[in-house]
Amino acid sequence: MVRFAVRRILQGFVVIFGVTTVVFVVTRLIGDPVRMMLPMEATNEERDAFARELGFDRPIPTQFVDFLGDLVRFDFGDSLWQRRPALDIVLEHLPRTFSLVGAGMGLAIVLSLAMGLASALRPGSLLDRIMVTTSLAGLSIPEFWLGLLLIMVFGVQLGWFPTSGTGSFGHMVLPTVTLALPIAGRLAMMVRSTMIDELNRQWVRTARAKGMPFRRTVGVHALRNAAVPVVTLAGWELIRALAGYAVVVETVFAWPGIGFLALQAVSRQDLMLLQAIVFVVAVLVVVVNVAIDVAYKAIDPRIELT
Amino acid sequence: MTARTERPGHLLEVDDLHVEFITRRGVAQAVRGVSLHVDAGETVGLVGESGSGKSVTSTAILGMVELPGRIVSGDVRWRGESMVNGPGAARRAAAVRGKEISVVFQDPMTSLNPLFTVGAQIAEVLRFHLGMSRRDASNRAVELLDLVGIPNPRARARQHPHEFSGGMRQRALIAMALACEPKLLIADEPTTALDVTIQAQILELLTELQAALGLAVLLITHDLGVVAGLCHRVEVMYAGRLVERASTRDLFGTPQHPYSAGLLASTPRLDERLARLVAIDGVPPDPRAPAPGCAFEPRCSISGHRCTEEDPELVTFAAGRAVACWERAAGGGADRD
Amino acid sequence: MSRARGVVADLWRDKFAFLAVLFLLVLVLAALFAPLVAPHDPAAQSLAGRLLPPGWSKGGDWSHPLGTDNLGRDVLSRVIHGSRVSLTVGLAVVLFSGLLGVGLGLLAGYRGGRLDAVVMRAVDTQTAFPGLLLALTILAALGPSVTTVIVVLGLNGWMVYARVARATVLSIKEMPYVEAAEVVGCRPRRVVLRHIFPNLVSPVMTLAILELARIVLTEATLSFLGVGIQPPDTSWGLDVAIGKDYVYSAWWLVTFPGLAIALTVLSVNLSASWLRVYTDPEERDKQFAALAIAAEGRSR
Repeated sequence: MVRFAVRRILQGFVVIFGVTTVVFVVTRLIGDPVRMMLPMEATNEERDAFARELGFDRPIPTQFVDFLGDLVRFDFGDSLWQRRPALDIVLEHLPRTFSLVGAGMGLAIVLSLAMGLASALRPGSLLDRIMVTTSLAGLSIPEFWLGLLLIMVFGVQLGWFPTSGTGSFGHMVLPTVTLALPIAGRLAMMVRSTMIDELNRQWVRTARAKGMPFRRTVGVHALRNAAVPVVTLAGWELIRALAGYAVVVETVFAWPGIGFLALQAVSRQDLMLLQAIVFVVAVLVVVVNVAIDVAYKAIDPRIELT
Repeated sequence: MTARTERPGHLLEVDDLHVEFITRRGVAQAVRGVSLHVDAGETVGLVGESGSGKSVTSTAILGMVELPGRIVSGDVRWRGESMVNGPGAARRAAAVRGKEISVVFQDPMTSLNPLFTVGAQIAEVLRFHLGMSRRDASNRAVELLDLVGIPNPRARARQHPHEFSGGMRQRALIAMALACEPKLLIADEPTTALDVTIQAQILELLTELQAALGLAVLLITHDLGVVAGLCHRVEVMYAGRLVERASTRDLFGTPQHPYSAGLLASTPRLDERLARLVAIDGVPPDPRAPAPGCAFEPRCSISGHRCTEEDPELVTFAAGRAVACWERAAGGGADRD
Repeated sequence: MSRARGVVADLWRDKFAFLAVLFLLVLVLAALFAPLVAPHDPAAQSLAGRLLPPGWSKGGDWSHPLGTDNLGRDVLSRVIHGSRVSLTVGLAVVLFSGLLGVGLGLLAGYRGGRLDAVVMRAVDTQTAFPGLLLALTILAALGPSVTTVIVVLGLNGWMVYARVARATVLSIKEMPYVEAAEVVGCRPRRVVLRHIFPNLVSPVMTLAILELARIVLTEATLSFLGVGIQPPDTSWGLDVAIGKDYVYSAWWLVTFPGLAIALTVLSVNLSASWLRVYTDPEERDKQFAALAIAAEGRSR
């Protein structure tokens, strides 16, 4: 098990390396970082000085080596915008993203288990069809639109919840629901189809034939087998939430996490900050991936870990 | 408490059972009026080809018929009490399943849950039906594995199904079925998925267990060789109906129904030399469109005029012998039961 | 002909799926004939007619059935024209990543060995990339436009096609009839090619449809964030971004473009879901039986 985890972590390093290299290639080689980061009116002298200061005037291979060296030391330079180490800024904003994503995923998992199970137990029934349609609707709605709708209905019209920033528990409600609903839709569909498959398995029939009560055949025999694909999907959703939806939801609700930070970095052309954010997110993604793989083995002893 | 039937003493009684399946292309009559019984200690073979309705019958006996299938009419009675009709029938069926009536299904590869240990799955039955403690159930599970001839039972009980071979899995399934000392064991094609040599071992095991425990066995199979080795008597099914009932010796010696005769003829014997393999011409009928007459008629070599018009009933013409055939019944001196 | 009628009859049985397919047809037609269908020029500004509410509201005007935006542009026309961009980008990306992914997956599965290992390693690695964030960063660096969006999204999405194609090839290679054909004397490559494509069509089509839904959402999100389609082009996501500033005063600016996105994606998903049930006989039968018994129960 330890050897497996170590191997996975090494693979993770490859991923992180890959991601940051891509960013490097795109920003330095294809784009022009100097032009990107300085305002239009900058004079040529200012551009040259800037380039020299950040090392952009040196040959690409040298830049790459420097880049790697900095990477290993977690030195992402100073944010152009705030004139502080970029990594520090990112780490400051990280906890807020964690709380949002954590709450959102939690809500999504509870909802999807309830809906998916209810559907799977009576496939083809009216309840099932309603659940399926609701799930499909949920996962078809773009998060940003859902957020804005919720703001309009619950924030503006009804005035129940605040619509931006943080502070009270009330501030968390709308963003959490916005994040959770599409995820719940996708997870519910997966729970439903996996459970339907599992309920049809021969070993579940055998359990019934053994006289096991229905609750046990569903809750123990079917559910445990269904856990593997569902946990996989939940893990991916968590990753996508961290790496993507957080950006959208945080932007709509002005929730000061790293997603919000990323967008501000984009609008301020702050390449340093962006690189730091991408790196941190890549690390998070790798950590979650390793955690999922380890969770597999705990659930299913058959799985060949390579 | 339901009224006792006119025939006290039958352990299991199936009474004019009709089961149908609703499909997009029509309603399939899988079981069309099957009546049979099993008494304590006897081994009854239910023989038929794929699609004859024999597996559906066993599913119905256990009360496990699910969509798209359903029981249309008829009854299944265990020790005189119905498990299909009337209040409390479903509850009775659930209480009896796994405890008084057990099943061993056809496919040992998928009948065990891959995520749990074999021992745990056997212990589950003991803990649930008999209320045993975890430790007692565990130990009993090991004993049961030993009973069915699995070497190193204590170590094996802690393993997962994928670590067992096919034959061993089947033995484990038998152990699981016997855990609560049932009165009736339904074995649905218990050897079909196994190699020939393993088949023989499993059959021998079943014979031993039956003698030792006084089990009644309902053996469902398409393989006459298995029947010959194990069963006291045989019920032959074709297209959802019973076409012949006889003791094993009588069936093999003097089969009455043309289908039974055809089945026997098509099984090559070691001591015969054959120029070609014998098969029964034709194919079984479509269960969605049962013909008005005898279902076997299109393939029958002795069919007469009445056979295309009326479906023959199962008629008892001697002690323990019955046949559903106009031609045979006419010749054999039928007595309506 | 009767087969087509059978499909339509089955579709009609599921009202939601029927509506979904109908909606998609209307959408495609609207996209194709946008200039003819839209009542106004989507870019036509009018200072006088700014922020008009939809036709049925007080102060609204039926010549602008869904209202106008902050520059006086007709919302309905923008929504109709927006469909062009969304569908074009969606189809282009699906085509790009589909061809790339299926191609690589076929190669990997067919050749096996070192090539297979390399491709699968690439798939695993890139799948672990943080997709949206990376796209965001890259587009910000390159400067967003229709082309760059298509390229970035396309390069981001090939992995899942590769996996599916490779799995199909591998399962075909194992099939007994491939061996049998070889024994008879057919050249293995011919056999595999002849048998692969028909088997590829179904899973890849299903995947492509689902990916289309996902890409439409992603493009809208990127445009909303400002790194997707840029003005003067219209995109639904972009329009929602514009409307974001008017949440308190002009609710229709956010609602209608977003509704268009949601309905499109929902229709695609419903169609895919219906298609899946339609092509799985066991599921169909179960549903059929359940409906039949329920109907019988009602009529008793």
